[in-house]
Amino acid sequence: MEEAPKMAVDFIGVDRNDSVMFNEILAHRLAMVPLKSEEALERYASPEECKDCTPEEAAAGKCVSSDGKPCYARLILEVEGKKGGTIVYTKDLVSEDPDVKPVYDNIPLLSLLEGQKVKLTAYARLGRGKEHAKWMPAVVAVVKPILRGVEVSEAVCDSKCQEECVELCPHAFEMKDGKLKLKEGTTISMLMHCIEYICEGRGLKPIFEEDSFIFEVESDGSLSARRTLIEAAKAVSQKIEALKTQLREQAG
Amino acid sequence: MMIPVRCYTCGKPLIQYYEEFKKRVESGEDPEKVLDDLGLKRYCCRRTMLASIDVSKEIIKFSTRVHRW
Repeated sequence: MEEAPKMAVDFIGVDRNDSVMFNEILAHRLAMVPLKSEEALERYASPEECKDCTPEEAAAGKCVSSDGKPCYARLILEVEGKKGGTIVYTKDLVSEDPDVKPVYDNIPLLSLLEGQKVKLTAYARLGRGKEHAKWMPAVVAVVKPILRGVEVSEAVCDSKCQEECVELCPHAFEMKDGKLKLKEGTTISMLMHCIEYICEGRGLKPIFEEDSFIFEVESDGSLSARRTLIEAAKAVSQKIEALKTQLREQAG
Repeated sequence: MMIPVRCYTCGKPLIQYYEEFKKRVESGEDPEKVLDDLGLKRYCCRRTMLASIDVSKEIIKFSTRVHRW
């Protein structure tokens, strides 16, 4: 997942900032804002080609990949505080590219008093999560085994011991027909906590489904979960190809 | 300062829910129910939402650039 690219603000050029928020904090907040990158993946240059581009080059529009794709998308923020104070939201960010815009319109960025002004240009580019977490399209990516039940060895734990266990762990176990059974809706972490710490040494063992598992991906909104998975798979296959060619070179 | 854009631990964007959360909690709703309604399941996100305090309104008084009220 850390290899799947997405757009995020890489640096900002501040013309004017009268607010109490420091430029650095503002830059960090802007970088954290998820930007829509579904179309941008094809239209912008790859992270590897843009990595070494300096801010001066980017501002002059010199950052272009070998096949003519631009590196940076520009977003402009220009707001003046109104009477009673103004909160600047991401909807005030004007993007030059309609495909690269904030996913959420109502993210507060900073607050201004009357007469205070902020004017800045933010430069967003494609990047990968291993470089900085702001380029991580997936918030959660976990593989979970599927829980089938729990195995009790009668030799170690008789029915009295099982009843004790249910009393100690009412959120994970229940008694059914005089036997310890798994309660419905029990999560794996809850069960493992019970087995390893509370009912320790009582011969309990979880049963998992053998040839299937749950793979959970939660996206931050910039790419769909499906697209994230496809991009991550592409990155893995590219790595394998690179390894193959290297091995071939070494061998021959 | 202002509350964080994302959850510190997992990185889920949270701040878009903050105004609704604040409004509903201030009107007397139980924070637990509001967090459930907003779909914040993980305890890292719930803690970030509950524990963040927006102090930008207090800090802004000490703004050095323009003093107009």
